[in-house]
Amino acid sequence: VRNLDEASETTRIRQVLSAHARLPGSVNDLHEETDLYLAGMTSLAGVSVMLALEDAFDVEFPDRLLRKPTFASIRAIREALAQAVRDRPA
Amino acid sequence: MNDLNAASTPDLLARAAHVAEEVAGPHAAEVDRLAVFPAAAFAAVRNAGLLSMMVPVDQGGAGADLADVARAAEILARQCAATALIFAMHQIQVACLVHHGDQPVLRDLLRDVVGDKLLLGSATSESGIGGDIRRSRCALQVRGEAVTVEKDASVVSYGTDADAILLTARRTADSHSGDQVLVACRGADLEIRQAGQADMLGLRGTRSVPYRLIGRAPAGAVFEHTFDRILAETMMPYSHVLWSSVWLGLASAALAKAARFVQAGARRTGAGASVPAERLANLSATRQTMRALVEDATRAIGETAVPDRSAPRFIAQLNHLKVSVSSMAVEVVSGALMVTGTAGYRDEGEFAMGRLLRDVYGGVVMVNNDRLTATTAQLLLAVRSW
Repeated sequence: VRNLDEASETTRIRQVLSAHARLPGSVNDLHEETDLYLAGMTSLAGVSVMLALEDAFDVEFPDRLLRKPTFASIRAIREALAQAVRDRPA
Repeated sequence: MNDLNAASTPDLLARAAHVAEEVAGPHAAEVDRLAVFPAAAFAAVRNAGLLSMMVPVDQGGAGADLADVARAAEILARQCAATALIFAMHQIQVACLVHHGDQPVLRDLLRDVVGDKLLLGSATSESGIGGDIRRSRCALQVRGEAVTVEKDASVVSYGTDADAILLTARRTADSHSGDQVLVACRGADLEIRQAGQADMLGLRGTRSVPYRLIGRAPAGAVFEHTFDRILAETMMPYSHVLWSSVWLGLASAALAKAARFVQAGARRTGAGASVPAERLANLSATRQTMRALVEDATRAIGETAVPDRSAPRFIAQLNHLKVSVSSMAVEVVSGALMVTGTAGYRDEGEFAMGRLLRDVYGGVVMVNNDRLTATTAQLLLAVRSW
């Protein structure tokens, strides 16, 4: 299991959100807990974010994580990435 | 609670059939020709206690479930699609109140749906948004304990005949377009002005035209759940099942005409093979598939925990339902026209297929199937186990 440095991981998550979440405001204004859907991310943009995260972090989210709450905040995304990394086939 | 409201499912469906056959059907041609609200049919729907059929028993309703309401919509649609679609749209708003309106002002409104037999309407679309109901331009204005909203709605159905309208708006003037709330405005607190014409091909009795709305409501009439959540958990799934039930009813009406035509022919020539009879058999099979899809989706809604209703798999399933059933309904009605031939092409007589054809195309163009399929294609990128 790769040891993901939390700060750089958050930076990369923000980069993905900036490119794919299509938020009306700036990604820099988001806190760890900000609800991304309330911040303007649509369900479809959420799918783009999910796919871009898979590409950026070289993981595949399993079906059980492919629900709206999984991508609802930066913290939720980091927790989901950790789970996906744990589930990654050796 | 009166006796009308305390009814079993067979009772309710028998009443729906009575309303359909005795009132909605006889008025359907005129409602269509004049493009007027089906007032006689809705007087009968009201008197039969059908407007509150889905309200839970402990709140004075009949406690019917989605499957019951879907059957009632189908029964009405066999006689008058406009009546059935208005009935369906009302029930979708009732479902939103039942599932998301757990606050005093909204509970009062639901109580009046039962006691005063209120008809609920909806104003989710807006001019300048491009048909995306998940974005709003208008915003709530808070004035003390009250809210006001001014909305240029691109389409409202039966706007002037609804007793209350649930409409979407941005939460505040500073909110982004996707930060939406749903607010219930009673008729007395609504100024509603028709803002354009829409002489539609079919479903003309729904009176779906642009309106400028100015609504006022107590602050407690703003749903505490976000519109995004209400849409995902209740409005979207219930809409697809109930609208599909309307198209199923239209297909059944066309099939009944085609079957009468084939059977009349068989009386003259015997029960040998014929092209129209074989075509009828294929249409009957298609109708059976439509019914199975509606029942399957209804079951899926019941079995899907509320948080999982945002899952791409679930949304895709309901989008498939909408696209498949509405397309099959067009196939069945146009196939029924081929069975009846010139008798169905005439604008009068027992085999006339014109109104059914015009109405059924509403199912594929409203929430356009091509566009919905494009959305579904994107959602399926997030489905991993097939």
